[in-house]
Amino acid sequence: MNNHTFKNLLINRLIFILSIFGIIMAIYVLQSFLRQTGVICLTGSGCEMVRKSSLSYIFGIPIPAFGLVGYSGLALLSFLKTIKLSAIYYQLFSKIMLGLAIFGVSFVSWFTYVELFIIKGVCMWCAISAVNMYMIFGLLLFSKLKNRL
Amino acid sequence: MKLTGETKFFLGIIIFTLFIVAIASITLSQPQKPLPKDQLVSSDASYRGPKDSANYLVEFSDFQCPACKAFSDEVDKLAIVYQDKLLIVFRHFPLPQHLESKRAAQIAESAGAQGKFWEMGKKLFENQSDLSEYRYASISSELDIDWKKIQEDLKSAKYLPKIETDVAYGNRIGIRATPTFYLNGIKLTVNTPEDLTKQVSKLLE
Repeated sequence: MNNHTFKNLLINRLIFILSIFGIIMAIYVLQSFLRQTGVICLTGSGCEMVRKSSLSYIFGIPIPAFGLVGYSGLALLSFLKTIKLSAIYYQLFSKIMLGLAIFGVSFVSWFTYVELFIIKGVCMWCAISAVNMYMIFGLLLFSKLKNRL
Repeated sequence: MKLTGETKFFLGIIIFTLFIVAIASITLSQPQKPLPKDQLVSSDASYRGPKDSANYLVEFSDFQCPACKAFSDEVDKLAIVYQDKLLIVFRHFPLPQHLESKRAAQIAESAGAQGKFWEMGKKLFENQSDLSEYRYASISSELDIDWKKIQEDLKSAKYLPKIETDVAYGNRIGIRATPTFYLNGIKLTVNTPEDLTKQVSKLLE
């Protein structure tokens, strides 16, 4: 295995682990939305404020459900990249992942703005998820640029 | 399709994650254990209704919290409708971001010592956006409460330990927002004041 392949492998592993972490967070927060119960929150009443806000639902769908779908997509695609497939699929999966991550960072950035300036409460899990998504995006971008060189 | 070593490694992570999620789901779906009445209903807390009632509603509240104000009318209605069979207990949980709420809580307690906790509480909620020394004095005068006595109590921080005990207990049982209600020791999930009435009525009727 050459250095270049090893780096790609390592990046894919990191993205997979971060996506799994995102899935676990999304499930935890989503259950609190569905069961209308509290979550562990180190940012005071921020998580409750966000959960109870109508802005935390898009077309009636709780925000963490979008996170769950996004992270699941990323985890699935990074998993599929480990299977021996033709280079075309590998490239396609990488492009879809980057697309998902771009949508993800736009989404978390928008929601962080909503939390800070409209709801005026910060949910710890949303903040962690935002950092998580930025890390995935950063890794995908790094991988894309490296592969171009 | 051929599974590579890397694929097997990922599958291992997936299985491990599913295992963790399954355990967490089982743990989270366990029915809530009611909190012991003698801890939830502290002996010095202000209350309405029969003290020995088997049914008790405990509210953790903050006089500067808008949601608490929205729920306060509903709690007042419950106190009238179920006056013979429901014990309603008020416990303080002033949130740190509400700078005047701890003082308001002390004033309510001091008014309580003069027999007017609930009346003062109602007025504090009504004036929650405008709480100040002047407002407290005018409310006291309106309710015929000795303002000088309240000032003395504030100066000596007579009721501060009681409020801090409530907050410490609230933190210990995992309260993170106000208002938080416990009905017969079970934490209620209520989004609107009507939800509260529905849940109390369901139990008592």
